[in-house]
Amino acid sequence: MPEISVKGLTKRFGAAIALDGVSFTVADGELFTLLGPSGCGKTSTLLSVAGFLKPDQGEIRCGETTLVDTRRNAHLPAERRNLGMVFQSYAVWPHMTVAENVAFPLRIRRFGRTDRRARVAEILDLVELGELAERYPHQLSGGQRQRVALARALVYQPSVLLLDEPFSNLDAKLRERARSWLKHLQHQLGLTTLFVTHDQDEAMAMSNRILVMDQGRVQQVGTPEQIYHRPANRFVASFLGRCNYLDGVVASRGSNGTVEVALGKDGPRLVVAVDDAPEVSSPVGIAIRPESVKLISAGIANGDAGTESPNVFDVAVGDVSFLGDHYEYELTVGGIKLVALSARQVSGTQLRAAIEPSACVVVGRGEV
Amino acid sequence: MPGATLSSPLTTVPTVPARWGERLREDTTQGLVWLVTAALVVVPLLPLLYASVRSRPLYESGGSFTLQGYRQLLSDPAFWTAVRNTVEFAGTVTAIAVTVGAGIAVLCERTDLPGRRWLGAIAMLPLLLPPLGVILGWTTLYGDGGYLTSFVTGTLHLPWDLGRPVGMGVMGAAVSMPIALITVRAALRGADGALEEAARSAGASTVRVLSRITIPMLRPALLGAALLIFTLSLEQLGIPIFLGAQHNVQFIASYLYDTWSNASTPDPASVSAGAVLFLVAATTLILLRRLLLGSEDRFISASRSGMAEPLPLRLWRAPLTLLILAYLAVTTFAPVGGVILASFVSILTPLISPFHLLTLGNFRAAFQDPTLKQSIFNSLIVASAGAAATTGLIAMATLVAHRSRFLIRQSLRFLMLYPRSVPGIIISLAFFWSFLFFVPPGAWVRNNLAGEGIALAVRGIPLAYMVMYPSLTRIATELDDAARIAGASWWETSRRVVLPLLRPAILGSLAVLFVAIINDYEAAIFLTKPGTELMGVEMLRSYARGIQGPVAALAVVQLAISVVVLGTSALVFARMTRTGHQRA
Repeated sequence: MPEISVKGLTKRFGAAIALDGVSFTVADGELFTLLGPSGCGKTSTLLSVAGFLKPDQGEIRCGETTLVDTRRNAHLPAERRNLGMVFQSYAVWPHMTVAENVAFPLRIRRFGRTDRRARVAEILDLVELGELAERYPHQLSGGQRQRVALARALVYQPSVLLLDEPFSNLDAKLRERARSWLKHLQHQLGLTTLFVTHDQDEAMAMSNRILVMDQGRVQQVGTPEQIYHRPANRFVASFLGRCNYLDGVVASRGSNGTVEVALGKDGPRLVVAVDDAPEVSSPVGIAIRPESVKLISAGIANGDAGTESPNVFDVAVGDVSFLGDHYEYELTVGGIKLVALSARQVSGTQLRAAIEPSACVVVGRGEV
Repeated sequence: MPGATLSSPLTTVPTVPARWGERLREDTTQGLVWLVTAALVVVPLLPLLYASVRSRPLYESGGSFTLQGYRQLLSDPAFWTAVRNTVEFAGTVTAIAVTVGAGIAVLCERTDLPGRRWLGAIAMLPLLLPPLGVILGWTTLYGDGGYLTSFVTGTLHLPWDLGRPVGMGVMGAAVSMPIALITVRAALRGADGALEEAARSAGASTVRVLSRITIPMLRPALLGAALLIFTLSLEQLGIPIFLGAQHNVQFIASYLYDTWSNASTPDPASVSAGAVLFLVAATTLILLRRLLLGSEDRFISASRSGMAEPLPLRLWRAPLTLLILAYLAVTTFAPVGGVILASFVSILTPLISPFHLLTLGNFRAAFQDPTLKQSIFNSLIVASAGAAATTGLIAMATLVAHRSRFLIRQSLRFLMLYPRSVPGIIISLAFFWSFLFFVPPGAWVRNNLAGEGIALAVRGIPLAYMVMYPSLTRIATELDDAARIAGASWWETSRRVVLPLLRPAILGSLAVLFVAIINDYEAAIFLTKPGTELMGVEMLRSYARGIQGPVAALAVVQLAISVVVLGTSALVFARMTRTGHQRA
């Protein structure tokens, strides 16, 4: 399976910019996810790769084949791209049986009848629909229809699999099953897959790498861990999970890849681990995941609580909510509000909060 | 979780075979569909324009440029009388049809009127009835010496004369009312019902909600319906011929027809000139409507959003239902009954009980008269072939217009809807000149049924499109995309995915066109020749010669064909869409 490379993809609809210089590469056999809110350009990107949208500028290649090159005015029609796609609505043809749906791409490729049958049977067994070959789509459940769509997209061994929000029409329980099933299949077959979703959990659970998009621009590309723990900017941090944002000014630069940031006017000072230390007295925004804020009861020493962190603050506890598998604490430290999540209950109105420097991420310039 | 392992590596599948010139073939097919549609809709109008400025008919050699035709037409006082009558008629039709149609639509869509669902459905019937049959029914009941006229004028003392433009307008409104009903209903269904609920929760009464919220929201729909009905009323030919004869009341269409038929020199240029002016007027009105309202989608739209809780009518429930029923009874059911009765009696008169005059003589006469018999046969052939050909062409043209990358696909939509604004008599005249002017194809079809079939089919194009387009919009484009990405070309996608899914609409188009062509007469009026008579045209001619019974019998034949064809197709359509819904 070849890799997909997209370079400088730009698309305007009137005055609105749908895609603004989008570039990325999907490695061979990788499950690569385009993630973002609706209208961020992820679907436009997918449709450009599929051949249903003509970009104004840019280049798309699939292995050795050029799919789009606007400089040479090259635009391969969708039907010649040999890609497989599962649509959001599944787009299973209602007037054909399951077997006829899956056989359609082979028919188009002038595949002999015997070979066609054998291959349809093989692929239907793969997606566990062998028993339902003669059913019509309206006789199937949503999950089964999705697997018909997948079988139809895989039966002709496309060079790449495109998935457009394939789980959004399934209920929550089924969605989780389908997710792990598809990931398993993708891995087994080594399919290079481009996956579009607005659901961050889905993206985290399935992807090798994630590309986060907003307003037609690439915000960050990385593994789920990188994206979650080291968000490149405030948008990425807020789109994936909950986050505390603190604005501050760099007070001093440490020796071991850290800086000390003064929060607020007379607020506490926070030691932050950084790759490239910003200049002293430059404003910075800091993102801290609520689960990285560790609560320590008043009477316990830092060492006993298992933290060596330089960032330990006395905090006043406000509202506490029980959310089933964890507790949520609203804290105040030196006039700054902070949310913490804790698996166990910590009682008291005055506590201490410890934050590891590595859990503090600089996300752009602060607003002080 | 399943073990998604492969027992054997998948055999290699070849990529889509490179088909040389695939794109070229696609473009050619789509271009051809566009060309045929344009040729049928626009080209026939050109010789008419030319004929209107020539000193001699097109089939005679010589002749020079002249505006004599226009001069002659515009200086004829009878033409101006006809214009005044037509406008008076169209104004009456519009006022009544919009008021009644909108009233029924609002009552059936937004209130708790008893039986609102089937009332709304039967109120649509006049649209499907043969126009000549309805006219004939009105004359037998409400015309001079009609079966019920003395009751209306004598007993009820109502001023009434069906032979005057206003009287004809009351009749015309009965036929046009469903257009207003459809338009307003579509607007109501598209509108957000929550707006009315908001007014009600703020304490507004039913009357206040209707007058302050519902009806003001309908203004664009009412304007659109009014302009459309006014334009369509201008072209009436049957009404003045059937009803205006006694008082010599002419409309533009009947004036042109009579001038043509009774002229001392054949095919006078003034008729072509009149047709051109008529065409310009009708086209201007339709363009004006587009300009005011934007796209035609308002008329075709079938979207359905939040429905509000029906407004309570309370004490008015029963009286309003009865009022609508009475209107439909007087304007539709009674005339249909009248024409049926007239076909089974030797003469229909209030002076003698019809039961003493019962006879099958009219049907015998209609089926024995060689011309009338031939006309039934011809009409069936023309309607079958015309419906099939038009449906085939428009199915393709609709696909090109809405599901292709064809460069000038947008123009197809206009081309397909345009014939609706061309008066039928002008289509007839245009094809008359075209068959003479474009000699190679014209001569092949001029003297046989094909020529009439083409004219009638062109008039049916907008109908076919209006049946097909809403169905096509309900077929998700992802279904096409799925076929394309699987490797299918445009044609393969159309043939294997879109057209099969469009089957119910194709059937509907066949039925509607078959009935429309059977019942039409205007588009063929200048084209029939001995041996190629059509039912509607013969009914018109026979009636003008004073033959009434057999004409009523033919109207009943038309009615029976319409009921059987539309009824059957409605049943099949319902079954197809039911399974289709399950599938979709």
